[in-house]
Parts: sequence; structure tokens; C-alpha cells
Amino acid sequence: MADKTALVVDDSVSMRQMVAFTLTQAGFDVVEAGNGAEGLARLEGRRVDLVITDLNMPVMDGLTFIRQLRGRPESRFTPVLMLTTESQLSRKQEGKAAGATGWIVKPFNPEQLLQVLGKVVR
Amino acid sequence: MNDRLQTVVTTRLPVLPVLASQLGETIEQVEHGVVEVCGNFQRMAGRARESVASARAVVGGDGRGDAGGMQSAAAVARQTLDHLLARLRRSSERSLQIVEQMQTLEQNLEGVTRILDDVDRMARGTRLLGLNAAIEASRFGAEGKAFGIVAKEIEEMARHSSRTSTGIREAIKKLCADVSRLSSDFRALASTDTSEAEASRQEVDAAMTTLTMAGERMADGLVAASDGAEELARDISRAVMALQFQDAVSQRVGHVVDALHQMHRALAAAVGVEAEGGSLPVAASEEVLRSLGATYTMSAERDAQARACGEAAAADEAGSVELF
Repeated sequence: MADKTALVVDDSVSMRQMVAFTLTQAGFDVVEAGNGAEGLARLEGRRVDLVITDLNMPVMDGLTFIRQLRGRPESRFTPVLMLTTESQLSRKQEGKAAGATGWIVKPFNPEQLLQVLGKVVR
Repeated sequence: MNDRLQTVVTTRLPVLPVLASQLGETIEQVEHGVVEVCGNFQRMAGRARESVASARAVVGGDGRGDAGGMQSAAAVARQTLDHLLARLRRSSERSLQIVEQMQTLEQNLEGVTRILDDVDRMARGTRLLGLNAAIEASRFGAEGKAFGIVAKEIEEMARHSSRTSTGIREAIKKLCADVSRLSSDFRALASTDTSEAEASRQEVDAAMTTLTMAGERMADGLVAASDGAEELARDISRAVMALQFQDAVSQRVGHVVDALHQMHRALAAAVGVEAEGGSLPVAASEEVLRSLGATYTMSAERDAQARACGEAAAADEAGSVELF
């Protein structure tokens, strides 16, 4: 997966660090943001191959972020994975309706995450 | 509310924001610590992976890289030495051929010496002839004078032939000595070259064998070190991932902090004290618990509350990974 770029959105610095660690080892360049609004700002003038976002964040939560992301033509088909401690079925359905590609419950397993990336990232 | 309860609540009320603040700072400190530990672990994992890459670059993909290279270098060195030795053997053979030719030359020179013996004999005979002719010429007086001159010339030529023969004999003698010495030198050189080269070849061969074995041991060591570094990198990665507990703990403690703030606002309203965020109206305990449950973001929290309230855990939890 060399030469790919991923945007990681999470209000937890440590979680961003761990996700970035995993993605970097898989050959991704990683761009980080602390909430949905920051994530949208990071996407200005930049195409990414993957977005991984938390659900509950200050300023702009993950669902709002995905909805706005999907409204942008260049991000309409970008794989977006929710990475959250939330595992309620109703929340997952909200994520799916917002346009998420998949849902991963924290804590994540790096090998499992990379397997998922192998399926969703072209 | 009776006065005693009012007093207790009023005096304890300021404690709640303090506790909430303490917990909030604890969350920040733990996150800061985890980020630092995580960063250090990542650098360690990076260095371990660099070590793996360096070791693999040395030993090659098959794990035998430089050892194989050392073996082929040793084989090339042996082959070169064999070629060198073969050339030396050919040189030695050529030297021996030259020695034989020199011996033939020596024999030919001895043949020339024998011819010179004949020349000497002829010179002696001629001188004697000249002497007799001079004696006979003197017996004829003036008439024999001219014949006497011829006789002396013959005698002189005989002496000259004898001197020349002696000079050639000495030159041949010296030439024979030189040829003989050269022949000995060539013979010695021929035998020394091959025997020393063979000894050198055996020494280099032994050194190459030692080097090859050392290379194999080095490659084995590097492979073991590489495997160890790779395992270390994996262990570090697992340790990094284990630090994810901090995010869950931070969220749960954060929800407790929120609950403490809610409790503070509710109790402040009950005792008529102003609170940050405004007062909360009195609510039924079920409503308070439902409101608290709505802040949860993970099944563990909901399960914990359900257990505390003697209820069954929610059933709408799904698996950890789902692609839509």
C-alpha cells in the first residue's frame, strides 16, 4: 500500500498515534486531525485514499464529519472507517446511513485493521 | 429538607467540582504519559525494524547472503591460485627444457675443444715443419734465403694458430662454466617455484576455509539477531496497542466527571446554591440513570450500570469489525 495517504480523525492524541503507527508500518502517509472540522480542513486541496474517524469528538462528531465528507465530490467514494468505542447497533446504523464504509470497535487489533484496509483500499 | 441535611449538602457541595477537576487532570496526565510511552515504544520498534533491515541486507533474502558470497569468493581465489600454480608449473617445465638445451650446448662446446686439440696438433706439426725448412734453407746459403723467409713465416703462422687456439679454449672454458652455473640456477629455480607456490596455495586454501566458516557463523548470528529484533518489534507493537486501554479509561472517567458535574448542579439546586452550568431540576432516579446511560459510549459502561442496578446487559451489541 505504498504511496497511499490516510486521514486519521480522533480527539485522543494517543489513539491517533497508535492508528498512525499501524498505518505507517503498512506504508501509508498519515495526516491527523483532532475532530471532524479539523479533518475537513486537512482535506482541503488534498486527496486521501482512506479516512479513519472516531465517533464522539468535540466541535464536530464523526457522523457529521462523514456526511460533509460525502458531500464533496472528490471524497464521495473514499473509504471511511469508523473507529470508536461505541458498539451499539443503532449507532452503527447511523454510521452506515451517514456514509461510513465500515465500523471497527476500539480497542482495535492492528492485524485486523490491516486486513480490513486490504478489502476497502484500492 | 431538614437543616442538618441542608448543612451537610452545602458544606460538601464544593468538593464535587474539585473531584471532577482532579479526575479531569488525571485523564490529561495519563494521556500525556501514554503518548510519551507510545512515542518511545514506536521509536524502539522503528530501531528494531531498522536492525532487521540491516541484518537482512547483509545476510540476503535466503539468510545466507554474505556467507554465500564468501564461499564464492573463496572458490574464485582457489581457482585463481590453481591457474597461477599451473602457469608456474609450465614455467618450471620450460626452465628444465632450457637446462637440457644448455647441457647440449655444453656438450657441443666440449666438441669444439676437441677440434681445438686437432688444431694445436696441426700447429705443432706446422711449426716443426717451419723449423726444419729454415734449417734446410740455411744449408743453401744465399740461394736458400728466400726459402728461409717462407719457412719462418710458416713457423710464425703455426705459433699464431697455437695462441688463437689457446684463447678460444679459455673462452670456451669460461662459457662452459657460465652455462653450467646458469643451468644449476634454472634447475633450482624451477623446483623452488612449484614447491613454494604449492605451499602458498595450501595456506590460502586453509585461510579461505576458515574465512568461509567464520562467514557462515556470522550469517547464522545475524539471522538470529534479525529474528530476535523482528520479534522485539512485534512485542513492542503489541505493547503499543495495549496502551489503547487509556482511551477507554479516559472516556469512562470523563463520563464520571460529567456525572459529578450533573450531581453538583442538581444538589446545588436542592440547597439553593448557584452552580456552574445552572441548576438542574429534581428528577426521578430512573430518569437520572437513563440520562447517565445516554452519555455512555461503550458496552462495558452500560454493562457496569446494568449490573449495579441489578438489570440484564443490553443485547444490541455487535461484533468488533463490520463492513457495510
